[in-house]
Amino acid sequence: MIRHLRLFWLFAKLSIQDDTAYRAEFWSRLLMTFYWFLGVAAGLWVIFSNTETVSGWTLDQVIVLVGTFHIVGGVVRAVLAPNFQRFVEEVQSGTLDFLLTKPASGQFLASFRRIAVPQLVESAMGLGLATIGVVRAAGTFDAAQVAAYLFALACGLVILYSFWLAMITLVFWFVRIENVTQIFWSLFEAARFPLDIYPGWLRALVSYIIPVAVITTFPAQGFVTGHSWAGLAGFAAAAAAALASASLFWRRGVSSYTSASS
Amino acid sequence: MSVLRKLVASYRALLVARWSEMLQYRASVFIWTLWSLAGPVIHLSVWRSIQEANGDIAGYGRDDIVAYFLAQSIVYHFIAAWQAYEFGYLIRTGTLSARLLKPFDPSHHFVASNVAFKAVNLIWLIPIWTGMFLYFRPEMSLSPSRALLFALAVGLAGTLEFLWSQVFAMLSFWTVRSDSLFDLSEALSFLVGGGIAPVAFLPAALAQVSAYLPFYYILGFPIEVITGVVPAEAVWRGLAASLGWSALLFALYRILWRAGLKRYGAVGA
Repeated sequence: MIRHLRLFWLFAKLSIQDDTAYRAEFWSRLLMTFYWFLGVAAGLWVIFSNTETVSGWTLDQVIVLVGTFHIVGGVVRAVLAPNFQRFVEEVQSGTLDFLLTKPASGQFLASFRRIAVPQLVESAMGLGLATIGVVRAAGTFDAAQVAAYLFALACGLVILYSFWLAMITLVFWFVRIENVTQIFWSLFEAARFPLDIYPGWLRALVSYIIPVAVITTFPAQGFVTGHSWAGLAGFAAAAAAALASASLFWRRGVSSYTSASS
Repeated sequence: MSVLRKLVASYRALLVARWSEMLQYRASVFIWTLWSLAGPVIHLSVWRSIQEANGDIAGYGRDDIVAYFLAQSIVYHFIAAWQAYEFGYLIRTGTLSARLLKPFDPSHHFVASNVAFKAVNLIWLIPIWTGMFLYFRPEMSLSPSRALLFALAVGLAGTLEFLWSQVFAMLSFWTVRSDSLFDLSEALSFLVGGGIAPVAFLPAALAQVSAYLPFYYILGFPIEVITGVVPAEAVWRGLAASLGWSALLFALYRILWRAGLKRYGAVGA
């Protein structure tokens, strides 16, 4: 575990070194993110100029939710998506063998080798938004709520990671699956708003089958209805189960992998 | 006359080529269309939940909201234009030079692939749209003359968006960031043109912004023609405005194209 943390830190450092060579990219990303921020604010303005609440969520609470959406989105673009892309290319070209023969967990290496640092600007913006939402409603939130939020967010990220891991494992059997990520992004858009607004089938789809929306709604929900211990424990258990089954699936995938040359 | 005949023949060849290309990548094309449905379904849900809680919004009841966003998913398909993302690539790689050697304007390629994409996708979009209408069942009436006007409005809207994208494509002669600029304009269009909500829902300041831009005629106007929000006499005024914007953007595109080509020649040679 410690070894993997140290490796992760090493990958992060290398990624930062790589990306500092492309500083213009970082600045333009920052500028773009700022414009997106304005766009998000204007969108909320349009919605809340017509109503006080969206299915029981006040503006402040929706700001926390949208912030969470961007935190998660930034993590996916910075960590999950680039590693997925590279992994798919390696399976297609057969160079995955070099990764699997390295003396560390293949799953770990495949998931965290590269971090696209400029994309983390989006997460920073999300964190800023979430903080604004919490501060605007100051007095009604307390430290325990924030701690519960962070805990739920961490569990949500684990669920999301497990989902991506399961998705990329499919590459062992179906070599051409880049498009699957586009489906993810389509459904993830739904995570911008409280889950309760969707018709039942869509809510079930993005909560249980492809759990993209529940991972933003659930943590932010704490600021609306409060978190119960049972709810948090259930969410954590779901995260643990997702991670365990995705890892198992990954191992089955690796053992059925026979390289490109054989 | 022979010029026209040549053009028709080239278009046939281009369309056939693009059509088979699209069919070859049908999985990705199909997933792209799913992506285009996500926005309308999400915003439909947002506004419907608000309407359920607070009552009608700016005169829109449940059925009006559902009809609006279902029509939006159809209009989105017919107005898509993406050459602003491709043209910069043609310039940077020099591929444009090869296309310039051919005996007709390279922009015909964009028109052909645009038309082919929209035609191919109808194969699965028509069943999907029908399914969505049957699922949401909005109460709406549609007269044949409205349907005809809608076809006219959406055709003009598609032309308008195509020309808008074309103007941004031409900016690639001067900047490598033209696709980011196009993204920004699309975000603005989404906000004030009827994407996030019907323009009737916009706060006064944003509605003001919308009045000075062509975005409403690209998205909101054709939607409102088919849902019947626009009164009959205003439809013609809207069509005239779309035509006016199209003429303006076409002129702008031609000016930028000529100027850009001079610049491109200077760099390439």
